[in-house]
Amino acid sequence: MSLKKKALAVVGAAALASTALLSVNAASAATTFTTPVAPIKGAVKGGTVTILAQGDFEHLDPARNYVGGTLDFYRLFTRTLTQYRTVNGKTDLVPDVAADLGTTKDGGKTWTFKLRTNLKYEDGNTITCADMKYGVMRSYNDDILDGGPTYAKDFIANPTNYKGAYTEPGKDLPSVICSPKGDAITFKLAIPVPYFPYVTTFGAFSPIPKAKDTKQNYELRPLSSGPYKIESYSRGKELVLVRNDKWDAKTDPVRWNYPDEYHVIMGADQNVIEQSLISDSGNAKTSVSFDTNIITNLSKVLNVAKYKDRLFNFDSAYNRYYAINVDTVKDINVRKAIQCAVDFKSILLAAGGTSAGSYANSTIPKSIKAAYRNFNVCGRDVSKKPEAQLDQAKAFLAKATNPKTTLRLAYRDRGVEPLRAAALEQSLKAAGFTVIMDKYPSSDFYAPAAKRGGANEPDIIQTSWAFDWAAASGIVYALFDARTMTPEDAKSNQSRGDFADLQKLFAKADTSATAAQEKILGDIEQSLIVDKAAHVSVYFETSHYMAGSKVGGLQVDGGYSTLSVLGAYVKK
Amino acid sequence: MLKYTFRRIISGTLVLGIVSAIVFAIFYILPSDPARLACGKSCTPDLVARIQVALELDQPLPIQYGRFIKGIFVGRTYLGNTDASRECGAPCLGYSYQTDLPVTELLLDRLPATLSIAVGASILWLLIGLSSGIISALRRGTWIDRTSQGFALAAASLQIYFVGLILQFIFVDKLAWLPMPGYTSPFDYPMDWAKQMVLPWVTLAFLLSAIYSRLTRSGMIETMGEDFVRTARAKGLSSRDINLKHVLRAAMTPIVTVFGLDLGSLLGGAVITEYVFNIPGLGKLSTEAVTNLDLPVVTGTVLFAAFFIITANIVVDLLYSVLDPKVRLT
Amino acid sequence: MSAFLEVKNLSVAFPTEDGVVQAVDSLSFSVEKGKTLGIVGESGSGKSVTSLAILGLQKGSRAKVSGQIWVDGNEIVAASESEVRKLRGKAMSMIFQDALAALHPYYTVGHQIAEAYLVHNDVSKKAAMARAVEMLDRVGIPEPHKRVNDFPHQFSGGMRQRAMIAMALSCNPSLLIADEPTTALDVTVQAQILELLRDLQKEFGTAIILITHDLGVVAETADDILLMYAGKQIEYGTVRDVLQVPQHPYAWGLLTSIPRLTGDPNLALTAIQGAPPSLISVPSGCAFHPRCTYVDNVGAACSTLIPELIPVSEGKHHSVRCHMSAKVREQLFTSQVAPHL
Repeated sequence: MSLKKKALAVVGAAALASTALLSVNAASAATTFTTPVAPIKGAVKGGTVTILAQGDFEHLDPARNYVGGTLDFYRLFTRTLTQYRTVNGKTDLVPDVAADLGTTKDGGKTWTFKLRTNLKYEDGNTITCADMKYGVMRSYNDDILDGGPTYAKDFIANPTNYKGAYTEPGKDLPSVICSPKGDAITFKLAIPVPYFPYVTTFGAFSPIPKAKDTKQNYELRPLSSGPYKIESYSRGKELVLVRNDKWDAKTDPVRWNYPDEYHVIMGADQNVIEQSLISDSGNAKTSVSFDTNIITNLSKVLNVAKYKDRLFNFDSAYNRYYAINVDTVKDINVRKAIQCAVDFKSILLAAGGTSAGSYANSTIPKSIKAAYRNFNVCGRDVSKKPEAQLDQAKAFLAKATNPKTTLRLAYRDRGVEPLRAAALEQSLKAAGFTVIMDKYPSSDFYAPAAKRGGANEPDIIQTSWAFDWAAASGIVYALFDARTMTPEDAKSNQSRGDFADLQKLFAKADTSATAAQEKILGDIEQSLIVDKAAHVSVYFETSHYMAGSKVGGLQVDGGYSTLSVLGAYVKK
Repeated sequence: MLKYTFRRIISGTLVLGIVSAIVFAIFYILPSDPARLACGKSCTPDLVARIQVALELDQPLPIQYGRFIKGIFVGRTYLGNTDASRECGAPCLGYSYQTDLPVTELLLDRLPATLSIAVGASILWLLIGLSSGIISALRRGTWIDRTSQGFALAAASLQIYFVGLILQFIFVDKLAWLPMPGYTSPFDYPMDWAKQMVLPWVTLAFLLSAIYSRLTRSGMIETMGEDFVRTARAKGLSSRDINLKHVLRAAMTPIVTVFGLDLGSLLGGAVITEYVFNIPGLGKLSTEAVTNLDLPVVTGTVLFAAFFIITANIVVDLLYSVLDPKVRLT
Repeated sequence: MSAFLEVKNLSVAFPTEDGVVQAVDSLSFSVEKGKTLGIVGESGSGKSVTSLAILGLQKGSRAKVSGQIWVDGNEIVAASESEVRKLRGKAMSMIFQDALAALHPYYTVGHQIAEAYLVHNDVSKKAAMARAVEMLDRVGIPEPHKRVNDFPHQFSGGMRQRAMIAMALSCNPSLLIADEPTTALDVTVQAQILELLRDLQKEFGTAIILITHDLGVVAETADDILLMYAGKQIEYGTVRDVLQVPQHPYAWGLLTSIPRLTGDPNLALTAIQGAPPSLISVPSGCAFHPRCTYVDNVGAACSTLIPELIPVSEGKHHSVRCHMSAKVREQLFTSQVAPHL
């Protein structure tokens, strides 16, 4: 699931990720969520849930964990400042080690989180604010603790140029402050970050006692703060989790604890895992995989009644879209003609058809309810009429005062991407355009496609986005904010949009509370697609995960867009 | 016989030594950089250099080979690339570049699946192959003979992947009588194990029982013309005794030889069968290792396969001396 | 039917792709208990086929057997396999030519003898093995209790032949067919084997058919002689008659080709000219005529008419198939053959 991608160029954070769907509600600061998560109906305690994995975890060190399935799984033994919880298809951002969802008095530049004071590690010691701070400080040493997201380092103000707990063991990070009683933690940020409580779901914001930190070896035996602890971990082979009796269910709003043990069995390849899950034989009955999307055997199980209850089909965080370059395609009518010429149907067909993805009018998924808008694209509901609207396209093209009929389409030479580009080429041609196909090597695409100016600057860029946190702030700021661009580099704003009215809305969003901010960001995206015709979202990729017949309590996690094992139980 | 066995074991070990040297040399000649392969995704030139030392790739080939051989017999110690040094106990075949697990462990992990396929399939193909061959020979020229031998000829010319996929399509996808093939431990879930193994067994047995049927038939028919069979008849033995005790007994000897070698090479990995049905056995391990240029694992699987084939050869020869009293082992 | 073995008009034919091979044609002879019949002929003359027919061993094969074979009052040709099987090994048994090939290589000699005994006698395996030891002892194998566990290849040629005999005699058969029992053996052993057969015959009163190409052996052992050529009997009579006054030119040829210690050392041995005929294309008329030196004495009949089997003289048990008249044969024998004997 790990896909490197540029994110939030505002602060130059390199990011990637995986995340989520279903409805993610930004809880207001007033909501406390201190109550434990409600039990899953019908779930029983006992037994062992087996997780089949193709390979070992890249990193179990919280600071280094940046892979969808692992981000879900490591919650079994890692608590973070805030966290997502999904119950009955509804995902909330909730305080985890924190006792609230953070407060800010200066528009997002300083954030204070109250902390729960009664939490314990597996060794019986109490989790302290100092441990939370140390977790952040060690994450600055991303030369040793590599692999993870760098949001903590990127967002937190660093006036003393702090280099990390290993490089500068005696020094302090003054921007992270524990209250005298140790019941609250304050972060001073370099810039206002209104969505900071989402950022604190990442593992850099998890408690690690300095005395137990074994640096690059910490991932072999992270100290548990969750309902399970690592009993044994043979890299590349097997990880065994057993109950952590020091964990108190009453303090946890996120996690269940049904099985006695979780076993992660590593090393089988894609096909072996697919087949053993489908076969539902032996151990596979109580197994699930979080790194094996059913691909090869999909046609055998999709829409087959006997597999229905164990096959989980859901939208992944990956949105495939086209950015229309407003610098080169200046006439709004030409852009609208392009938008109408996009044949959603043939493009999705090139990617594998409706089992591979679901049509989307918006890059903000429906699950982000505060921001999602159900608008039409080229005057029709794309999920009902995915075919190209060629008559309208031709009509718009005829209206253009500054017509541009030769278009340069940039795409990456990877997987089915050339096929999708070819599908678009066909419908653009049918609408009366001439298309120059610009194929870029897989390893060198994003930077040249974002380069502004020059003879080869693309008019249409075929690309994709997966949000790092389940909110419009994880999408719209990255993709549409003109402030991210430089005169030479569009960064991840591939459509190069810089519209005065929209930038005003961005400024307003910056200082708005989360819920209001999400709404504004949704308005911005709708305007950019409907009014400015600078963007065409086509589909979200669909994930197909399978579980054994004896595993209950599995659900699609809205926080990480993956099949979550947090609530798994072994059916009697 | 003891002396003979001992000598064969010595010479078998020498052959293994030669095989390992050849495999070793081939990989050394191959234009690949093991240290780079072992380095993984977040690789730096510095890390490559450290791995180079850790894997002892900076040493001359004969020394590397010597240490490799030493590792097999007495184990060896590797310098860690980041951690402390690690002990690789005998028989040590090194560590996988891909997963960093001991190769010996990987091989032993995959052995049960291959063993399941090989043993089950061989029982099946012996049963089917021998019985149909015997019936064909006894009913030579009848429609039973013609049908079964025609079928055998057709079956022997079909490919495993073809038969396998067709059977899977029919019995798993369409009729859903069987679960998806795969490997489950027979000790924990014997029924599931058997159900998942049925298709691999049948597929392999389909091809091999055809060959064994033809072998048995021709062996039986040839033996039936022998003088000693006429003697048995002249003694007044019943045709059942003649066919089972005299004809089959003599016709079996070459079949046992072929069977031993077939089983031996199958134990080294039923490559195509495992590939077709995605069964995590030694054959699948070796194809994965070859695709990933995981040299220690490739070397391990080759040696393992060679070990089984050589062992099968020795066992077959010993067995031959038991079956055929004329054979003297010296 | 007074004789113990009575063969009447026995014919055995094998259909082949090249046509029907008449391996044995209208053969008739008989053997009494305690007597020995020597069947003599070259390879392919039908000797072995005859013996197999007596044991009924062509049943179930493609061979067409006709005529009658009576063994101790049981007719073989028309009988079913299971009926004949009960007689095999017990009422009649056979010693095969090549003991190495005729013994199963993978079973011990003792096992193979005991097996024969077990089929026809309701005894334990142990008792059968004891019988095997006894039989090996009787045929003169030293240390039989040890050698009983040997495999055929561990025996010498002579011992193997003795083992074959032991096996054939284990059930005290009334009829013993010995197919070239001494061919592969050296002279000393050959004599011992023949001696053994004679002793056993004396003891058990067995009827023996001795199949051989060696007239010398027959002369020493047999009571009667049956001379075969291309599937037909061409001369049949007592040893005394046939050897002293042989009637058929083929018999003359055979006799003059044997070196004799008692004869004139200066006499040249005369071989029979030509080669035995192929059974696929048997010469017309008298099958022997292409090789016969005396065809001129008869003329065209030799190559057109098959000669009848005619008694040499009235009331005598001596018959021959030859177109030459008794008188001519007598003249020729005295003038041209006898001096060479």
